[in-house]
Amino acid sequence: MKPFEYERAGDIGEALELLRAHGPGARILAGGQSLLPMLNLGLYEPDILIDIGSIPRLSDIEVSGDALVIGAMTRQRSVELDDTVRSRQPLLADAIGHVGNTRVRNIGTVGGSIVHNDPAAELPLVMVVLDANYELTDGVSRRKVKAEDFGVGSFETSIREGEVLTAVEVPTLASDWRWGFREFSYRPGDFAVAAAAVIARFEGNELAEVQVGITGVGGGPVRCASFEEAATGRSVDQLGEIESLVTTEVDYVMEGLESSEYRAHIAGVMTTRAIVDAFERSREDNRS
Amino acid sequence: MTEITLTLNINGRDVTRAAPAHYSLLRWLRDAASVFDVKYGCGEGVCGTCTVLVDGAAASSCIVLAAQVAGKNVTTLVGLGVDGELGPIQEAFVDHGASQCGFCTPGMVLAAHELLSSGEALDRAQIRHAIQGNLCRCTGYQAIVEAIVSLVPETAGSDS
Ligand SMILES: Cc1cc2nc3c(=O)[nH]c(=O)nc-3n(C[C@H](O)[C@H](O)[C@H](O)COP(=O)(O)OP(=O)(O)OC[C@H]3O[C@@H](n4cnc5c(N)ncnc54)[C@H](O)[C@@H]3O)c2cc1C
Repeated sequence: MKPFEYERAGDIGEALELLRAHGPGARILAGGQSLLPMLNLGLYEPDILIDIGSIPRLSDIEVSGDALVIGAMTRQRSVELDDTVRSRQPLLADAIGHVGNTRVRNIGTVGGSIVHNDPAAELPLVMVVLDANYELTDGVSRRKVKAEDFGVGSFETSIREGEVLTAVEVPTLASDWRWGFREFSYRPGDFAVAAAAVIARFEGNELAEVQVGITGVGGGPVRCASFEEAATGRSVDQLGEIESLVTTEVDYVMEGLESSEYRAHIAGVMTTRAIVDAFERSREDNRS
Repeated sequence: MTEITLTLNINGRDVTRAAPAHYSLLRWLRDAASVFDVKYGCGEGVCGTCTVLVDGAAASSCIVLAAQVAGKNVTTLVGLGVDGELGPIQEAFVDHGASQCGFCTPGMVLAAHELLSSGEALDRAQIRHAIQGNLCRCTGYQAIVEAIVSLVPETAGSDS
């Protein structure tokens, strides 16, 4: 590994100042759970890392109206175990438990996962399905970006040079909506071959409203608008017929160990199962 | 090369060393602080061999910078001993033959410590899930799971 310098920023202003002063050779260090493996593998050689890990209030979880505001530096494990997140947005708490292993989640952060934008990452998927917003600042101006508009492709986002992600704003789950999350991977802890996240409102056996996204298939999370439209008003036991629509919005289905047809198929199966899970949850709640 | 001076509390003792800023916690422990019970495995955070506890929570020391954890409490395998003798988890591993070549053992014992520190009842499936991020290349998982089971107050459920 090529040696680099290290600075610990005391506040956001200092972090932005350091980013500006060092230009493209500088990188923000959050948990380092993606950055340090890359450095160990020699994939990237920064001049300086700017550690935002001890900036106060950057790891707060707050309720603001119908949304949770989660600081960018919040550890993934804190989100997974947080009572407020578990009760107000259980999809997020469940999905984040699928990230890597406990060690990764103890140190890895919400903001780091979103900016790293691995094409199979769970967090960006959940954010796209829930219509979350990201808060960014470069010190001069602040902007809010819709999760769906943030990812550009594999490991690529629309974050600008000199910008830092400060928080994510995640809508809470409305009381008559249910959730489902399904992931297929070869071993627990591996990145997903494909995963699906769903929130839905049911009327009887029918989907009255549904928001669906898949990941692992294209260059990042995809909101499945065509599938959502076809699924609305449909009975949960008739989803198999429209399963293949989940990849309508995917330009190019990735190939890995498996063919793109197989990946696309798995994405459809995960979607149906996630919706059925959501439906089961609605029936359980009606019973109790 | 930029050197920085850091103080870490290692197994209850403050240790101060000057070392290059880019040193991982693993390298800092081994090369700067002569703490050799932490082992290098994969360098990518996948295998769990280099596990340490940072303020009680497991971390892969190969993908954390020493500088990131300055001032924090770092526990390595040796830190789980009691008065220079084996601690209860280490004893259980010995009793169950839960160590073959031994390379994964420090990480396994520390992962078990984090898991057991909640004090909750756990079944075998939960135990297997919790150590999923620690690889034993001898594939001796059965004895490792049994060692951990023996430390759980009431072990519920069947083998899965
Ligand atoms: C063994 C292993 C398994 C894993 N498995 C999974 C998995 O299954 N699913 C998954 O989603 N992830 C997985 N990960 C990745 C993990 O989730 C990382 O924690 C995450 O991708 C990056 O978060 P971090 O806080 O560690 O960020 P870092 O590694 O510190 O940073 C990642 C990138 O984001 C930038 N950055 C970080 N924070 C900010 C910010 N606030 N503003 C601007 N830029 C920022 C950094 O400059 C860097 O480019 C795994 C990692 C490991 C080591």
